[in-house]
Amino acid sequence: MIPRIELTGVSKRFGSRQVLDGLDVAVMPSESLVIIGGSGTGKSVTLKCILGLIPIDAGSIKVDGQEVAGLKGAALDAHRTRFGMLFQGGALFDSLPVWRNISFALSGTPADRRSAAIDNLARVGLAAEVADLKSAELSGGMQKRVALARAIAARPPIIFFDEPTVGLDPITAAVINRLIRTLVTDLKITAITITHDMASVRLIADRVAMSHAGKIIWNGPLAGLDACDNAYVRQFITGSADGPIQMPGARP
Amino acid sequence: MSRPNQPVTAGATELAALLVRVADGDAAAFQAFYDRTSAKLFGVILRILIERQESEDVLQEVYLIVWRKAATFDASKASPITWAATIARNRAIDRLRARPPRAHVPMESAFDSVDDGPAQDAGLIHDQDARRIAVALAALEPRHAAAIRACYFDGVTYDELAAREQVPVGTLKSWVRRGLIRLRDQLEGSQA
Repeated sequence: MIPRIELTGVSKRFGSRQVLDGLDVAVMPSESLVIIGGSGTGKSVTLKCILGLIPIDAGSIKVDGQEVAGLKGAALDAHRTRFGMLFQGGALFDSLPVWRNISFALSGTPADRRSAAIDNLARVGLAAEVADLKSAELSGGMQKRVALARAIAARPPIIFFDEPTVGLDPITAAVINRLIRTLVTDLKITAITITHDMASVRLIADRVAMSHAGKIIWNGPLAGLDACDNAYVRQFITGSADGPIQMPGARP
Repeated sequence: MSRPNQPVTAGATELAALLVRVADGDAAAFQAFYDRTSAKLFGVILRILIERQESEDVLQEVYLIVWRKAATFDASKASPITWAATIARNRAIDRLRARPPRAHVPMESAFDSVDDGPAQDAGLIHDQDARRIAVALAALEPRHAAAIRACYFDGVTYDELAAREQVPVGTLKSWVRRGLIRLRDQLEGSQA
């Protein structure tokens, strides 16, 4: 089977910093991959490279078997319509009511778009009344749900979840994690989530990949995570300060 | 080769021609260069040093440097006034650093100090402008207004916004363009 997304030898350098250094990773259709790794190991950059927001220096990025690195203009637009995105912090338009945020990319009459927004609100467990509120009036957890509703509204086959539980309390975070898992399963979405929240990993992932120093240094099914004897992975999942992962700038 | 972002003005061309003659030791050209630039350079120095007497000393040093180094002026790198102002700024900062610690400015200079902040009524005018723009934005198609706010007020790029909202870049640009045209019409209308 052809992977939905396949990165091979992807490299990216910003000035003197080699952020991606020959990164290889693949996701199969309808699979949920979670990429874990410390801050600054190139996780967000990887997603931006796939979306074509950042050009890569070397390597290949294929979606459904087609090379997408270097696309421009209409081809890039067409490429991007396959992706939904849940950003850190939600990134909603404060000036627009919830329903207009959710239906931003949809076409049709305002009445059609409003009712599509209400359907998507129901999918994330929010009542129709929320549709007319401004996003600034919502709690952090509700904003995340609205952002989720927006990410699925155009029914993209692939969705990226960038640190979906950042800034949420553990209970709200658990609700969002379960919701992501349900949506991904029900809508048969191919998902890539980047996080350093182990609770997200256990609730969302089919497969886990560990990023370190611009490479994927381990990847395998969620069930194999706890039995994994990779020292980097062990240090990450136990959250230990001692191990091969050194904080940048720390003294040895 | 001149830089694309630095339009060469008539004044800059004349000043550059004067510098070429200064480099040859032409005192009349030097006098002309001094007459045209000294007020500006004195302002640059005074803003850094505050003290008038010291600033005049530094201004003299700066023109000594201009006289000696006119030949090193490169029109492709900077305009003549930028080149001279850089020398003035550097000399003034050198002087500032060389000052003994806790040097005091004479009390009487407080009378001459200039308030560089916005004029007192600027805040009011700014508030009025902001309100007129908010009213005009509210009258636009909401998606157009939101795209304008994101790109112009929040500094989001078209590319980022397009990826975030799953809207083609071209569509976003045309929404912003149509929004801005309506906005201009409205603001011109409300001014009349």
